Amino acid sequence: MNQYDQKKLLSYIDAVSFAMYDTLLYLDTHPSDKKALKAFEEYQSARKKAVREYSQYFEPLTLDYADNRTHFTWATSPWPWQKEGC
Amino acid sequence: MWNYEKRLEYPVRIKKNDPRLAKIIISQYGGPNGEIGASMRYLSQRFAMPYKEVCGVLTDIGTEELAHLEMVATIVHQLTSDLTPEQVVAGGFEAYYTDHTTGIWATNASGEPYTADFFQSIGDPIADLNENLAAEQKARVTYDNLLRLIKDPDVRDPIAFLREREVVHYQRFGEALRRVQDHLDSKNFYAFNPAFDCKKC
Repeated sequence: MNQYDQKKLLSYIDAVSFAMYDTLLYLDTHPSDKKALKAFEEYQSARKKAVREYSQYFEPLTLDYADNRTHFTWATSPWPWQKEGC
Repeated sequence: MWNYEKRLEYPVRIKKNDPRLAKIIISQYGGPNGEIGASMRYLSQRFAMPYKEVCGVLTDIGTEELAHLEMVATIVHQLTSDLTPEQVVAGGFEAYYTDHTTGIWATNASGEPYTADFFQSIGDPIADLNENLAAEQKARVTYDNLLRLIKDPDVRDPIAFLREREVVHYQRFGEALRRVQDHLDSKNFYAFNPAFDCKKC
């Protein structure tokens, strides 16, 4: 995977996470809505897979996937507010 | 507790700095209808909320507001990156710059600091949820006011996203209020305060 794939995968994670989160808010007030429950499950499993893949190929997004093999990339990879190239 | 996820809820990629815009957008960080007030409002109100499903709404929206305050700070940060002293003056950014350089500080557009008076937590489910409905509308209006002044599509895009979320949160708080009322006596919702007058826990 290259830098182009990294951008694409991150924007997929943004989208699927948003879908999951928006469904979560709906489920808070409609906890038995079958359609929403099914949608949540789909978004949740797609997100899990994508976050794991992103952390594996690029940088950790959560501490669950922080890499401690040779170099602690959690702290040294770019932070989300930083402009590209900074 | 909270875990950090190392990405923004919605991407912010601003190519051109603009201190004039930074100066007004900072209000949605630390101003009266800003995202710090929003997150503190909902996360604080949870403790007096007797109904589990409404605790869910307050927790999850309060958490999303934390992601929004990070987005607003990112917008301001990118709008003030690589500023020259000439740009500081031309953009009317001198007052903020003098006290904070280009660091992020919780203030409104006219320089007044954030204060806890910007939100309420009165410990009554009906009163608190009505406060939240008004707060979401006021935040939506503030984003509308900003959008009328912003031309740069790189800045408009994340601001429009944030505006849209206020509309969704308003909807969810309306449903939460209805759920609270379902627990109460429909002849008089205000007969007592369920957070105080009927304690079981």
